[in-house]
Amino acid sequence: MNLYEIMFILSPDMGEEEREKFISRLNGTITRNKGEVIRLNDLGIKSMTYKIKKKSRGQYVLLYLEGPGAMVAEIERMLRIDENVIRFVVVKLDRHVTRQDLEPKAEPAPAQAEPTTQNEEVGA
Amino acid sequence: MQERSPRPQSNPRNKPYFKRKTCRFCEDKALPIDYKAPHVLKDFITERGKILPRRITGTCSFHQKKLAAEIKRARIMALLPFTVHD
Repeated sequence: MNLYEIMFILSPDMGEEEREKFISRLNGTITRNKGEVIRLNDLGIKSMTYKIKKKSRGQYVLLYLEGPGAMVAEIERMLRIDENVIRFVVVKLDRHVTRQDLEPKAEPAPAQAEPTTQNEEVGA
Repeated sequence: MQERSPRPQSNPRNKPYFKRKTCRFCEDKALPIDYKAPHVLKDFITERGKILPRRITGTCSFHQKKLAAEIKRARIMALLPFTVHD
C-alpha cells in the first residue's frame, strides 16, 4: 500500500451538487479498488496562471489517499474521462511520510509532504 | 596601491566583493519545497517564468533538483506560469 496525493482542478462552473456527486463517484472508484481516502481538502476557487480549456479560474481540490498502485491507474482513467476535471496531478508520497502526518486533525501540518517524483500526469 | 579592499590581509588587488550565497532551504529547514506553495517557488523563477540557475540563487544541488521538479509540477497545475509574455 502506498500513500498518494492527488490534486485536481474542477471547472468553476460546476455547482455544489454536481461537485458532491463527482466526489462521491470518485470515492466509489477508490474504495472499489481497495483504496482509502485519508483526507480531502477543498482549496477553493483560485485563478490559474494561464487559461486551460478557455477557463481562467478553477476549483482546486487536494486529496490524500492510501492504496495499491493499480488503484491509481483507475483513478486517472476516471479523472481523464470526466469533462469537469480541468487538470490533475498524482504524486506518490515519500517513504518517510506516514499516514499520521496526513490525518485531518493536524490541519495546517502536512504542507511538509515531500513528494518524490514518480507519477506526473497531465490530464487534459 | 592601497585600494578600498574589504579584506586588506588577503591580496588586495581590485577584487570585487561577493557575499557568499547560501542555500535558503539548507538555512531554513521549515521552508517547504512544494508545488502547493507557489509563493516560495516564485522566488526561484525569473519574471518570465524560467527557473533560475543555482549560480544566481545559491541553492545547493540537492535542493535545486527538488525545486526544479516542484516548479514543473506547479506549472502543470497552473499555479506558476510556463511562460510570461506581453
